[in-house]
Amino acid sequence: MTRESVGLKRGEHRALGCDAAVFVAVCAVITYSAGAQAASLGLNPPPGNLILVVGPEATPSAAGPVSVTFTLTAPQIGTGQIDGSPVVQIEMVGRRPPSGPNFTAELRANAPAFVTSGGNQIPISDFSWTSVALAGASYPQVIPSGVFAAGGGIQLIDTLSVVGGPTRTTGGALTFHYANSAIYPAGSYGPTAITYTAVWVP
Amino acid sequence: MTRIRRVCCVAMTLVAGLTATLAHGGQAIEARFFPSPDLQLEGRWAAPKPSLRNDPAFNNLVIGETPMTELRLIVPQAFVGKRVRVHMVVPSATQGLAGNRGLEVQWTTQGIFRSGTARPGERVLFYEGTATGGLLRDFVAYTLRVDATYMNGPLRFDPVYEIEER
Repeated sequence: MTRESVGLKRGEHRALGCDAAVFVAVCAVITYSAGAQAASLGLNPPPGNLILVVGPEATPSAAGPVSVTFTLTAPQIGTGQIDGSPVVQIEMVGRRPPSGPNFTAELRANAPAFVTSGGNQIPISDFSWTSVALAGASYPQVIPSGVFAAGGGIQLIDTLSVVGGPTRTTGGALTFHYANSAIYPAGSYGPTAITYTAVWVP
Repeated sequence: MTRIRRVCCVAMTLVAGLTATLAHGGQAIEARFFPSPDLQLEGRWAAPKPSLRNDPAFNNLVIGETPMTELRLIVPQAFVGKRVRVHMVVPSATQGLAGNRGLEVQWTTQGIFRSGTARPGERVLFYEGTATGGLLRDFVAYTLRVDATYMNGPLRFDPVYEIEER
């Protein structure tokens, strides 16, 4: 029992000796690698951003505002919904900087209370939109369909949470409609500007 | 006694393994950009206007590019006058990157070094020829492509250059 104990101690001692040898070898390798200086490249992440694209579906990035036109012939007046043309593509993309904080983005529309023709007015709430996913879109979020609020003003159209992944997108192909449920004096109404804005909400 | 042998065997195996690694990897050599030893790049999004119709990976792509920059590799005396190969070794772990995915480095040269691409964990032939002096140099332009999904902060690309006799 005593001998075994002594032998064990000697064994431990030798084992420590071997460990030490390995330790020295590892140190030698580390020193060796650290001795060679490497040309180093640093890359700072780009800042986050929020991008809004509004344009005709066929050419969404076309410069300038997109003009949606509603044409009614006399027999159509007051007979129900008329679709505007063209279909409008809206995309809002939020990009969180790598390692940066999450944020929320809001898509807002600012509309006047009326579309006018001289002294005649059509309430903006007579206009609505139907939104569908863009063909070939790889993101699940689609701008909801809706109607412009009576009285106009700034209206929340969609909310986007830029959480987790660096890029989050919402969008849709929007067909605008004129309710055409009331009879207004004949005339050429508009043009009326509706401004869409993407807002970064910390 | 058995334990002593086992420990010694493990130790010998480790030492042998380390030696084998060194023999396979070649000798790490000093590399320097000139005149500035470090290059700091500002990343940019590859897609300035990302689209729903884009591949999500493209929308998340961050790019950093250097101008043509002189890279100097210091050849140890033992290799001067000999035909050598120099490999670029990209470590598996990259500072600023979660894991070893999402980074690709591409470089073009003026013909002395080889142009190529590499990802973390890869070892790529960078130069092959005679080391006529103590310095190998060429102008290199790097393009770093990073999937921001895997980027968790400022990134540092620190390749190791290894020389071996051909």
